[in-house]
Parts: sequence; C-alpha cells; structure tokens
Amino acid sequence: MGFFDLNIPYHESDRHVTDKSSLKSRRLKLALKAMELGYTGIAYNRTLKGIISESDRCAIPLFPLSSILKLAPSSSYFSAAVKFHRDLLNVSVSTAFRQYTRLTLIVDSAAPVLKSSNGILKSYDIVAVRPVNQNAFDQACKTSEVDIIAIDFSEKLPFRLKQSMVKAAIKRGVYFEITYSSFIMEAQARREMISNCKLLVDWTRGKNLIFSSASPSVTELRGPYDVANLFSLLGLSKEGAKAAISRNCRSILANALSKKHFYKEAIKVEEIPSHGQINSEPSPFDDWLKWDPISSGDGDLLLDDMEKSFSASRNVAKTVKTIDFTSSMNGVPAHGLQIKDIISVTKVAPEPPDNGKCLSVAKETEAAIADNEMPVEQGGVNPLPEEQDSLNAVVRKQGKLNPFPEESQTSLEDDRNIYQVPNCEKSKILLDPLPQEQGELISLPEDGQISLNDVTNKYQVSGYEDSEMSDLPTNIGTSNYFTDFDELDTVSIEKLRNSGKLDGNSVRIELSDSQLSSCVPSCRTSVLPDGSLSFNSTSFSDRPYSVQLSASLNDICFPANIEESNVENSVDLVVSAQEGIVVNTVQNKIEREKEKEPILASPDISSQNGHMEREQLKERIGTSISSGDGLAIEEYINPIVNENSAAKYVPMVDGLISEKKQIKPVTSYRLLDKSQAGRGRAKRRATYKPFSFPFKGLLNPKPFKRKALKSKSLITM
Amino acid sequence: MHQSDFYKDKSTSSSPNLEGMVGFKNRYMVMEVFLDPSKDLGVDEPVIITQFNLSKAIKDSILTNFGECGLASSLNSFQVKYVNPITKVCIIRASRDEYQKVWAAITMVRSIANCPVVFNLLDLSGSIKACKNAALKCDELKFEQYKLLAGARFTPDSQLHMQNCLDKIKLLEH
Repeated sequence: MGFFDLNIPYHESDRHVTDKSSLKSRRLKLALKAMELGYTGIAYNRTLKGIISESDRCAIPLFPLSSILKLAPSSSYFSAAVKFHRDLLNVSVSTAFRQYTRLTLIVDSAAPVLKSSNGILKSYDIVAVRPVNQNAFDQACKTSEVDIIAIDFSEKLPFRLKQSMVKAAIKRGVYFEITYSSFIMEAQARREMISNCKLLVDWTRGKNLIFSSASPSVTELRGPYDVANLFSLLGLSKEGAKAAISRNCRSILANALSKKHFYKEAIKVEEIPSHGQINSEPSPFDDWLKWDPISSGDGDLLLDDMEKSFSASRNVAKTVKTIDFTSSMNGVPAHGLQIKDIISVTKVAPEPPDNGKCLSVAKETEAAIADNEMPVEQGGVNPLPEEQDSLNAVVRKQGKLNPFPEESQTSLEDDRNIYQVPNCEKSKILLDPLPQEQGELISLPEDGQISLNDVTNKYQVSGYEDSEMSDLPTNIGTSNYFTDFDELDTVSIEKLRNSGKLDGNSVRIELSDSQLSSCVPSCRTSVLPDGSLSFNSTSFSDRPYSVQLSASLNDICFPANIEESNVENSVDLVVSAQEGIVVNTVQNKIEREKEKEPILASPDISSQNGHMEREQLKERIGTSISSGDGLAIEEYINPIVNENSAAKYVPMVDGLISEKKQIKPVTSYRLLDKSQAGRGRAKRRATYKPFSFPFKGLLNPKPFKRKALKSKSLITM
Repeated sequence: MHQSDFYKDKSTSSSPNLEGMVGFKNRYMVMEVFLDPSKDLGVDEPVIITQFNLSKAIKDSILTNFGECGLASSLNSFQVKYVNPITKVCIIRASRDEYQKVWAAITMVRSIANCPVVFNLLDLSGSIKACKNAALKCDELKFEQYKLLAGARFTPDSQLHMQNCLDKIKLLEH
C-alpha cells in the first residue's frame, strides 16, 4: 500500500510571485524528500480564491526524471535511500512515484456551487474546497462535487462543524483533510488544531479522513509512520491513522482520476494489443492520460527497460483500477504477463476488450484481496496490487520482455518462497514457466487456432506441472477447490458473455484461489468450433474432464456480482456467487426435473437413473442452453464427475452444497440429485413426494422443520 | 525488519538474563536523523549528534508538548541508547505506555543546536534483541548510502568508526 502526501504547496503560478525559481527548487526538494521518505505519490496543491477564470487552468509542471538527476549529487545514493525506506515501509520498490495536480478553492457563501463538469476544474487531478464560513461549509458538505474538503484548522474556526454535515459529506464520498505542518511548526497552531480536529476525528473515526503536509519546506515533511503516530494523539486508532495516509488517499486518487478521464458512468474499453502489435502502438495509451509522473528513483535502479516501460504505462495505474485490462494478476510479477499474453495472443481476432474485461474482473477481485493482505515482496519484482502499471508496461512493450526473465530469474527462488504465503497462487505458477515459455507464447498467435492438446502439451513441457501441480491432490478435498472452478468459470463466462461468439481460438485461463491459498487447478478452457466452451482440467492427467458450455451463457448472474463488488467484499462475493449459483442451479434443475419427476421420485436413486439423468443433461448441454436459466457450471460438472468416478471431485461438488462436508462418492451423487430436487421441494412441497437424503437440512432454508426427515434419510441411506 | 511490530502490542518483554527487569516493558525505536534537509546533499555536517544533545532535544520537546507530567512519566524509561554520528541512526528506548507520546514528541523536534532536523522512524520493536537486529541492518544500509554520497571524502577512519559503532550495537542491553 503506497503512501501519499496530497498537499505539497504550489505557489509558482500565484499572481504576486517574484522568485519563481527558488519556489520551484523548493518544490523539487520537497518532492525528492517525499520520495526518499517512502511516499509513492504527491499532489501539488494550488490555492485559488474567488472567481476561477480561464487563466487558472492547470499549469503545474510536473518534475521529470531529469530534474532529479540534476539535483541529486549522486543518483545512486538517492535511489539507494529510496529503496531503503520503501523496504522498511513494505512498499514495493518498483512502485512508480506519482505526481498529481490539485486545486484548492477558497469559497465563501457567495460562490456558486461547484460542479465537477467545470472545465477548468477538470484540468486538475484533484479538486478541494476550503470553506470560510458556515454556509460555504454546508454547501461543500452537501452539494459541491469536490474530492476533498480542506479546512484550515490551525486558526480559530470561523464556523462550527456539525455532525450531520460531516455525515452527509462522508456519505457522498467526500474526504476531509487535516494538514500537519502547522502542527509541527508553531505551538499556537498546535493548540488550535488539536481542539478543532478532535471533533472531526471523533465523528469520522478516520473514515474519509486524509492527512497531508502542506509543508512550506523540507523541514516540515515527515515520514508516513510518523504522521500516523502524530494523529493518534488526536484519538484516532493506529489503523485509522495509517489508512488515512495510504488507503484513503489512494481511493481519492482512483475516484478523481476516473472522473477526470471518463464521462459520468462510461467506462473505458481498452483494446489489448495483441502480441505482434504492441510495439507499434505505444501512443494511444499515452494520449489518454493527462498527468505525467516522473519515474521513481527506483525506476533507475531496476533495469532501464523497465523504467522506460514504466513511463509509458504507469499512467494507467491509478485511473483504471476497475478497468485494467492489461493484466489480471495483481501480485504477479512480470511473469504475470504470461497469462495476458496467452489470452491476448489467442484471442487475436475476436474482441480483445471483452477479453480484457473479464480479466479485469478477476484482477479486481484479486487486487482487492491482495490489497487487503499486503503481501511482502522482494525488490526488483513488482507484485503488489499497485503494480498494475508495471504489468501494463510489460504487456505494452513486449519487446522488452526479455530483460524480465533475467531480472526475475535471479529472484525466482526468493519469489517462490514469498509466494508460498500470500494470496496469489497464480503468480507462483506463472513464475516457473516464464523462461521457457516465452518462446512458446510468441509462437502461439501464429497458429491461430490452437487445439487443446497443443496447449496441454506446451504447458506440460514448460514445467508448469512442476510448481503447483504436486500440491493439487492435497487440497482437493476442500471447497476451496470449487472456488477455483467458480472463478475459472466466472472468467470464462464473463468472456463469453462479452464476446458473444468465439471462433475456434482456444484460450487458456489460469486461475488461482487467491484468497485461500489452495492449490490451483490447471483448468484450461478451449473454445470448440461449435461455439461452446470446453473446459478441461489436467490436474488429473489420466482422465481429462471436459465441460461444455454453450456460448449463450449470457444470463449467468455471478459475474455481475463480482463486477459490482467493492474491495472488501470481493471475497465474499465470490463465495456468495457460488451460493448464488447453487440456488440457480438447483432451481433450474428443479424446473427441468419437474418433467422427470417420476424418475427422481423414488427414494433410492440408483446410479443408473442418475446416469440417465445426466445423459439427458449432457444432451441439453450439447445442444444449447437457451432458456437463460442462469445455469451454472456445477450442473455440467455433474455428469463428468459421475462418469469418471473421481472421488476427488466429489468434495468439490459437495462443498458447493453442504459447505465443506466430505461425503463418499456414491452418496454424493445421490445427494446432488436429491438435493436439487429437494430444493424444489422446499418451494413446492405439495406437488412432490417427499424423499429424503442426508444433509437435506443444510440445503433447506428451514432446518428446524426438516430435522425429522433428516433422521429418516439416514436410515434410507 | 519488524514493521509488523508497529501496530501490534507486545504482550511481554523478553529479559531472560537480568532479574528485576521483567517488569519494565519497553519499546525500542530505531530512528534516523536528517540534519538540515533543506541544504544540498553532500555538504559537511553542521552539527554532530551525540547521545547527549539528542536526549536534550527530545526532552525539551516532551516538555513543551506534554508538560511536566508528560516529561516525568516518560522520563523513567526514556533513554537514547545509541547514536551513530556517521549514519545518523539512533536507538531510543521508551516505556510501552508512553512510547507514542515520546515518538510524537520526537517527530515534533524541529532543531538540535540551531540546526533544523527531521526524525524518521525506521523500526519499532518490543525487545532489545529485535531492535539490535534492525539497527544493525539499518546502520549497514545507511553506511552504504553514506559511502555513495561521500564519494571522495570517504576515509578509512570512517570505516573504523563505523565498525566501533556496530560493535556497540551488539553490546546493547536493556
């Protein structure tokens, strides 16, 4: 998680300024100091009063890399210092140091309501408002479309803070800013600040609160942890204080930049350049982005290529959190490119943006998850969630791919160790095949259509099996396994949904259960010529399963769930998506089973009947699923599981229904059938003959009533 | 590094060897000092930091910000255990109850002997052992940076001096 200081004063454009160059050098020093102390982003704040005119459009020059090199007597010292501090703060060394522009408007009640559509305001990344009287404050809290409300607490407040106003502002997503430089500088200011801020801090509890320096010179700047501790004096909790300089700032930036670049709720669809095209299209991406951060000193430390690629790509980082197509794996180093490559490569003809969209969905969840967990990383490898940009970079400049393996190979061992613990198992898998696979990947697009076998073979050859496959059997029994399938399917379905039709390109998707460090099923999906998606798992290499889904899976509900998820709930949503699937599955099954009721009615569903049913299902699958039942994948897995008698799959299926209960295979098949029928029975008790099965009570929304039946079921089994 | 210690409270302090010390629960802060940050890098040092002047500056800060009682309650365990004038790394001990106040006061120190200073926390730990490890690492890394910065002015004396300091760290006790 990066640290931000969103208030570095910018006075060079002020009207009566005389000594611009000294101001500029001061600002530069501040920027450098902030970078040295471990901050990952700063915003230059320009303060304006009164009416905004055209001349006030953003003209803040951001410092390019060259200025650093000029100033620092030894850039190697500087980058060593930056690296040192970032390691201490657990910030990725490869995170780019970003600069933003900010405007603070001093408003009194006479000023018109601020709208974000104001063109001049739009030229700044962040817009803040400083109310000077009660009306202005009320207006700012209730209606103004600004990012931050910055109140000058170091003097006696000319108005009162009201809790209702504060609450209204928080609800709207406006942040309150408290600056600490006056705290440090003057004793009187300290007094006023503490008495004024205490109220605000108590009411907000750190939510929607940010800290920033507003420091006139380098001596007032403090490191992130120091600032957090300082504000704990105000009664804020440690976590809240820490969040106020990192997470909250980051969300402001994400919101602000997305507002800046996109119109209302439009989303940006980015075409993922295919492998061959990457080198020829760097410019469209650069055009989109208005702010131009310098590359961090660390950028210099790492390979120069990486730094160059940073400068092109890191622009994307903040803006496209939710729409980041370029790479779906947060926490995955350059190797993460692999997946992206594969997918973009194999989907040359059909719509890449959609492809990316689904990837972004997966990425979002993982980013969220990874974000929450804050995995540790090694220098030189850029796995953190914020490193979407580096991955973008990697994608965009595929020509530069080659440096990466050298860089990363040295740290591969370490990375393997690191990735033992954290969330993105994916990354682990990807780490291994990187060196060998590059050549293979590059050759993929030329094939056009890739048969499943080829994919399988290639990835086996590339040692994909080595890393995580051995882990697979141990974790299979858990419902986590099922989660992986779900995620897989989420992604694939999302893709299908977006792309509509797929023409015979095969796609390989790797997923991992990033929140639960379970094994990763190496599921591969390939799109068969008839437009259905087949999904094979090679985890059981002796018997590859295939699931076929028709292309018209447009109505599957759970991708939508995931898209809407916010950071913290992403994990829950994946899980709940599963449950949603269960419900849907069951309900749909029930509808179908209505017709087949006589078969199912008997208490003992013989496997034969089960087979019949499954065959029927399979037929249905084969033809099409046109009813838009929202059928989920478990249904299809059913026949497969049955056919292959894979005990290992059973827990997965069961996990879906009974939530982590381990059941014997035979029992479980019956369970599945019965359970699905049983669900229907929950709805239409009158029509169906009641037959029981174990664990029905768990399925049933009213467990208490079913207890009697449960005991009966045990006997029949 | 023990960053995880930052926002976790240690339940016990470890003091296996000395008796009567288990009652004191301390926090050890490894900090770095930036002397006169607005001056250009690589210029000779305006003031040499020692245990004494650091301690004085911090105590003054506690007195200004937290008053007599604040100073008194933190004075019990407060000690500047180690200072390295080359790398500007120092170890400060404070009691577990008062360390936040002491840390805040340190953050608010503006100058030492008319030279503007900035303190920056590098590591916070609950045991002297962890602190020693962290301090050694920080010191070594900072020394590398110093060497890069000093360039031609680097002398073997500094190396010797540095070695002495590192040994001092290793000998630190409560």
